[in-house]
Amino acid sequence: MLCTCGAGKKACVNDSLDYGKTIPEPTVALIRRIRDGDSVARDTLLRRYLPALRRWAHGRLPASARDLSDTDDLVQVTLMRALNNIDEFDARHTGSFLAYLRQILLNQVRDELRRQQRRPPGSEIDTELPDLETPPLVEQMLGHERVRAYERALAALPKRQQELIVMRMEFGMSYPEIAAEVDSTPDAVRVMVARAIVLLSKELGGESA
Amino acid sequence: MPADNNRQQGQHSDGLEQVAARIADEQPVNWRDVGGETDAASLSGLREIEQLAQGFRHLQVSAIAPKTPTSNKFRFGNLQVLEPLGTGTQGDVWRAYDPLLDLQVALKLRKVDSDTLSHQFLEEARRLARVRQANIVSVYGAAVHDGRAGLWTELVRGSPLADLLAAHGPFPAEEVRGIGLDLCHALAAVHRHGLVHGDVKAENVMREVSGRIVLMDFGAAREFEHADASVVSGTLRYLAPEVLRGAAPSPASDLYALGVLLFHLLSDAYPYAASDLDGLLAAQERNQRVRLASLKSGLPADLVRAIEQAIDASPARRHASALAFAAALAPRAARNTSKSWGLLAAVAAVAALLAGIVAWRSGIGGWQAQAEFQRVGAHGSAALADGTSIAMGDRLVLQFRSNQPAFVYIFDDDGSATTGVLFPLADVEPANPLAANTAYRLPGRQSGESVAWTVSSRAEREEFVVIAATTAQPELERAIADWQRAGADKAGTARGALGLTSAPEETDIASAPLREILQRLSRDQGDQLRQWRFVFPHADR
Repeated sequence: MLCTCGAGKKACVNDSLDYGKTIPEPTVALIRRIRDGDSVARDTLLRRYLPALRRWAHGRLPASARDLSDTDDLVQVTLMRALNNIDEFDARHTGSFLAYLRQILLNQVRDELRRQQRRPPGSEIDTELPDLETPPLVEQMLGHERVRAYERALAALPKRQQELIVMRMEFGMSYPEIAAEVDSTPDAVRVMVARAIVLLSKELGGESA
Repeated sequence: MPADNNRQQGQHSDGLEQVAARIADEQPVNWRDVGGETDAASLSGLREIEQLAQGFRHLQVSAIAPKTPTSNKFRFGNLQVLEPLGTGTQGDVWRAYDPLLDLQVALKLRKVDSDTLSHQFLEEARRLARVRQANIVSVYGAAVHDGRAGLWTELVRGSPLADLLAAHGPFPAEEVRGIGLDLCHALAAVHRHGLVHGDVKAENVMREVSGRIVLMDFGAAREFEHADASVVSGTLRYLAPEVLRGAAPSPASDLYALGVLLFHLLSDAYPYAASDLDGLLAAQERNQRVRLASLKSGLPADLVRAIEQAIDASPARRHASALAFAAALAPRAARNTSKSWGLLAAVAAVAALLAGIVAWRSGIGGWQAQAEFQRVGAHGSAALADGTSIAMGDRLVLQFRSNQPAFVYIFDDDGSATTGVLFPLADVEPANPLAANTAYRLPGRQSGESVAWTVSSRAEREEFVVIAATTAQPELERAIADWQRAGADKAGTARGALGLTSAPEETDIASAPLREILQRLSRDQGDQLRQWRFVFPHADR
């Protein structure tokens, strides 16, 4: 999160998502235009989401797949696929497009981790930890079990609360940005995020008890 | 619901929401002012979320950090060294940028003037790098360049507990409990890797801005199996009596130091008033220890008991492990209801391929032994990393392999008053000794059918002790026979879902005798003995 002013202030400008400095066109409107074949809308959406998704993926990939080109490839391919199948999002999902992308990307990252951790059958046990076990940054920072506990607790929440937490905590989006995503006001979003965090805390607290 | 209750509940959730809003706003939370009537589980969840939020923020920032910092002073290998952060007893600490990790790091540099020292340093760094736990500073790498050894770790932003104590006075009891729990888990991870920290003290524990507690400075850490007792490091007042008298540092001396730290945070005093070596030795000799309860009244009795036990002059009377200390510190009193183990036949569709982190210990004469718990499922079995949650009904086996014939003994020792014998078992193959260079899956087979241990306990956690020795252990075997006989007398024969009369579920024995025997054995024949402790918390608690 790069915003230096109070997160609840409406005038806050930050670059967690590339909205530019004008009032952003709601994502839902962009998606509608993309579905109608509008390539400008498609580019706008790509520009909006790519940087945030790259940053997000950077912390979640294992060390061996974390260099810039690998991360970019993964994110770009994910985003392009999602845009090519935008009808699927529209039909099945009523929430935030970013949270939807995050879920697809998370699945991609897990596939990547599984691919890298696969060992040839019958291989000897190495007494030295091989480099490919260097965990993703998010796990280096927070610990594997802790990240898993968070993911489990998050998955237990209603979809909308999951999305609010992901947008605020994981993507570092400001309240006005989230408001534009979920068609609400920044003040209302702030309250909703706090309540979602309380719900998450009950899940996490229950898990550790 | 009565109106008062409604109002009270509303106030609780208002309090939680305010804390949650501060976390969402990226504002620091003053945890000392939070609490009172607030729901403890949710509060602990909120603390966790605050730390997670901080971690996610770091990731955001690290991902957009400038690729080439402009103000680098010099390079150390790949690292671009930016500015000095401080000088420690073992070298200087710098802020540096690691372009491979794309992160700012703390780089500790010290001079090494021989190949042996360089080798030792790198060995130690490699071991530390394997200890990954949320409350331990993460080691990212180590190298020797131009006669200087460097170890780089995550950059922790916050204050040492010593500074917080000096600035704000003694900590509230519940905060000390939380710090103690975090540090117990940190030390458990250190000890699992065969290391001791050796210098746990208020100066070496940081509280990050987020509230995360981080154990720092592994300068005094060493492998406890090969620790050199001739060099005393660590700050005097935190040193266990046996270390002051020349014994090698051990997990038990780390627990002592942690006990002193918690004592100090609560009271701003130390268990012994003296601060010099002679004075400390004399005070310990005369047992002139200050009691925590006499320094500060109104402390929770269980907290005082847990700390007093940790700073017992006798290592044998301290908590059996860091996790046993954690269990004693946990806010709820330790319980153990209807604890039992059953043997259940398990489908042996198990790939013998071993994965994950396993406990290899090199010993004298090149003896290597490996032990790893696995959970058996419908589709095979999966490695069970130490600390993983288990649940009622889970079926567990132990993969064991040694390059020499080995006598193996396995106990269930969860820190409660009783201990169960899990291996060897009558009527179950294999029996001791286990052959060299053979992968065993214990407990083994009964009447040709694979069996596993089934979790049928509602205890807080399961703690397993696995002993491997190159020779038979008559003392242990005599004791096991006595305990199993006593269990059979007590419980009769009908146990286990498939009528396995040798099931150990009622073969409970007092823990203390086992610990005493193990202590004697490791003292007398440490080279021929390997010991592992695995702790699995119960998911359904």
